[in-house]
Amino acid sequence: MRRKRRLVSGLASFLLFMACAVCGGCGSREQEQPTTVTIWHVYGAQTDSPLNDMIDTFNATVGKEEGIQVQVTMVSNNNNIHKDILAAAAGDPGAPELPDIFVAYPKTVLAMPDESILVDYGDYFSEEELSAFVPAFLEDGTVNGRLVSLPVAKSTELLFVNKTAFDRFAKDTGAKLSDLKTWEGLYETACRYAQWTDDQTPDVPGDGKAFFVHDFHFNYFQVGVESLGEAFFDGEEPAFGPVFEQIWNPYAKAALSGGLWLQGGYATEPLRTGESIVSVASSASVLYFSNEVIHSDNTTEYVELIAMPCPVFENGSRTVMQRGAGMCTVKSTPEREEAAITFLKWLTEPRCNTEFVVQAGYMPVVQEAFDRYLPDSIESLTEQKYVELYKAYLETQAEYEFYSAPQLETYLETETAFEEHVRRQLISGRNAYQEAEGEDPMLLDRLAEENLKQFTEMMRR
Amino acid sequence: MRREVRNKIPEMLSLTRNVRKQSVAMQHKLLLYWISMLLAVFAALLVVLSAMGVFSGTGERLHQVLSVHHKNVAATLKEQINLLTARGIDLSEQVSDGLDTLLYAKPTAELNNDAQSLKELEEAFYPKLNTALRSSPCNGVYLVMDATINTEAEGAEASRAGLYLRFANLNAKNAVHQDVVLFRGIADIARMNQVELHNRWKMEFDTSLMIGYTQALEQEAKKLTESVFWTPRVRLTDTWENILLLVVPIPGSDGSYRGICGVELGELYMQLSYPAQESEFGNMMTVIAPMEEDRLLLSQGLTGGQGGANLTAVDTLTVEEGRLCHRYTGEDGTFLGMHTKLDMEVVDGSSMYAVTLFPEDTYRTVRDSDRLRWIAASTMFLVATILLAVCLSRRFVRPITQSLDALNSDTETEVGHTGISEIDTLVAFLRTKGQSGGTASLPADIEELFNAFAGRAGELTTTERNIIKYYAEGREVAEVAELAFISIHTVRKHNLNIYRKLGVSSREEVMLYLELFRRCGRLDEIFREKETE
Repeated sequence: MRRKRRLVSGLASFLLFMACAVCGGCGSREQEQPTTVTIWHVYGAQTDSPLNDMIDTFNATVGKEEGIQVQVTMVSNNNNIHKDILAAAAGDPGAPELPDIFVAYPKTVLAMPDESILVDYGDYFSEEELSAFVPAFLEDGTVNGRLVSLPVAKSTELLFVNKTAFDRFAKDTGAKLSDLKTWEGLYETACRYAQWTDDQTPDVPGDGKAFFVHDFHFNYFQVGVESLGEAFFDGEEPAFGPVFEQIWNPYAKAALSGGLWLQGGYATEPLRTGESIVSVASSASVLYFSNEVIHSDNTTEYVELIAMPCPVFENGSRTVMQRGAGMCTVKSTPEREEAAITFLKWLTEPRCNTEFVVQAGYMPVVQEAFDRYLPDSIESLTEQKYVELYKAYLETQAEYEFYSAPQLETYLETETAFEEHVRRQLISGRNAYQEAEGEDPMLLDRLAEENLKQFTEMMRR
Repeated sequence: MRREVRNKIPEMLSLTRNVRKQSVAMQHKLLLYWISMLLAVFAALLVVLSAMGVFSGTGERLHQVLSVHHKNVAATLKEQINLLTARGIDLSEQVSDGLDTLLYAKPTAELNNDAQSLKELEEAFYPKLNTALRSSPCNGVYLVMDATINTEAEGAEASRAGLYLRFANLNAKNAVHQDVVLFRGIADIARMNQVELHNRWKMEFDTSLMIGYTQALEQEAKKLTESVFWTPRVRLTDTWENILLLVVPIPGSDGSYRGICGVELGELYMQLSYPAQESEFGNMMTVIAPMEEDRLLLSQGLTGGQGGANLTAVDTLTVEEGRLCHRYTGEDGTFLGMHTKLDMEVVDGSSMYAVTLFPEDTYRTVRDSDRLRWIAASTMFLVATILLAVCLSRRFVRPITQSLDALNSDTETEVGHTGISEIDTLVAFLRTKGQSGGTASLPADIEELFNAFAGRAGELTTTERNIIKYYAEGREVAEVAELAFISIHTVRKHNLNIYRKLGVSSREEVMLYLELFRRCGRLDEIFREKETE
């Protein structure tokens, strides 16, 4: 009797097991599909992108193990990503779909119609994990008390010089690289360069070249005013106080004389075409500099590019703009959010973070990367422009204070309007100067003053 | 009403009991038994066939899903390639008109070192290229004129002027929000049109790096539609992007070709336009690649969204044609899919194919899972039929064994009704035969002996008869004394009387008679009291 019972219970168990096998077959298929996370980033733009290489590594290692695939769907610059993010977030007609991860400054987050669509990293990173980051960098990414922009790489503004062209100019005029340590010296040199280049072709008057190009004129004024002890902003608007006027003058005179590049675009452009030889730009722009300059006659000149700390005012503090956007994650499904966080944790792990930032001309964001890995990585650099870059970077870090732009809702509008108006104003001023040059010895001072007045009026409107 | 129902219930129960008592023909039971056995055999066959994958139909399902998807993708690609080719030809004609207007019948080389004319031409062609870019399903448009701005510059022999516009922020769905950058062309053209220079901008094209440039210019004059071709995949110089270029020669009125123009199809654009399509068999990927005999040259084509696979790193896939779909084997993995030839001739004369692929591993997983479910289901069926067969056989055999037991033990009560008519009839027959045949078979003198003994047994007293019964049950003298509450002496005394009355001389002789009577089934004749008494 017992044997029979055992047989029956054995058969029943077998039937139950088989029933489970029949029903259970379906669930396992979905788990095998990897979770795809899309990303828009700025690291490398149209060149060989270091982040794309890192993403390939992630996909082939951690991503493969955990069933995560990071897919790059846009590599562009901050301005383009900013425009597309705002259009996508607002659901504008024809706008693309929001990616899972995108690179943005807090100004983009503040300009979004609803910033709550972004993940608060505080919900996904433990306190211990967040404590590994440089605290000031986390502060930069915190908007309205939520950490929405995770720092992955930080940069600052540096001075880049086409040393080959500068040496040619210096040989004739006695200009020195040390003149470029202060804004006063730089603008004076810019005026001399414009004159010198004009003199190279006596038969073509007024064809002097710009000496200097700044990525963001707005940053020059903001940091300059602050470094001289005055607040740049009065509430949400620029104050345009006495210090602003003080730093406007040398800048405007250089621009009116033709020593400043006033057209749009990034600072790397005129350096590549030889239309300018010195720039202040993000340290990360080293990726876009090439050691060759293509002149207007299509001749290519191979040049030496060096980097120096950003100029300061003679009587001002050593202050420089902190740059480097962070990564924002859009809320989606728990799986995709988790996948995005896994990737970001991997990217900010000290060793990976160092490997990534050193290729892209940035600084790491976690303290251990600075202490443990960065020195060795810098020592192993072979390309001269990167060696120069990190030399200037470390000098800046040792001697300068970093300035972070305030988080104002109107910041982006102000910045855009400022850049547009200041360039237009000075291009118009430059034309007026060329037309009236030689008529009045005080012309430059008068035009600088008039242009400031018109510019501030325009901004206030 | 309720009362009626209540009355009906006992009636129904009683009816059911009666039905159960009704005998069923053994033929029906056997029929059921055989059906269950056949079902078991059928189930076993099912298990075997399921293990062979005959029933799951995964392959047919795959074919259906794959062919529908592939047909759509191939149709879309064909349409896209046709449109791009038409756009390229149109652009070539427009540029040709522009150049002829300036040069008349002069050769294009007249433009060498003429920076001003080249700039004006680029300025004039910029809007045409910009329109072509924004209205075509591609991510770049270019134009190369067979002249250079400076014949004295380094590399001037291969350097050619022209324009190359690309999208900076790629979006496969529409071109409204996309910014254009100038990849090749005079920098002032970018400034005039307020676009940025590409990070790897150069003023002119290096035609030594352009596959098909020389072939395009050196080919015999023929219809433009016949002189169009595509390059295989190339890395766009100094960038991270892989591209295919449509090459359309620009005919001149002097009979030569003045340059080339066309469109760019980039890998990122392809990935955004053709994302991996999720299906029950895994992610289906789209590829455009040339084929050489049985090899798909992936390294010369573009891949759409890969959904986790890494096809970009794969060089070639060997194609093995199959009935439902083809197998594409590479070094790192095997894929299943289909391919269709596109009207897209490559510079070397080969053709591009639209290919739909997905990893074989994911298909295998689905197939195994389907097969397992079929095996499990058919095994369950087999076990169930075996259980049924066991139950039926037990129920079938039980009445027979019960009847045999009853016959052996000679108890009538248990043999009353087995539920099987044939067995009931057989048992009744055996019983009748046994009863009638028990005495009839004895010889006459033995019968007489039995009857005389039975007659003598009728003279026994009740006590003596009881003692004989004890002996018939196999009791010893001492036991009989205890059971009858009398002494052994009294038993012996009764024994003597019994021997005397029965005409025997010993207990052994009594036991022999008892055994004989038992075997003949006539024990009760001895223990029966005389009717007269």
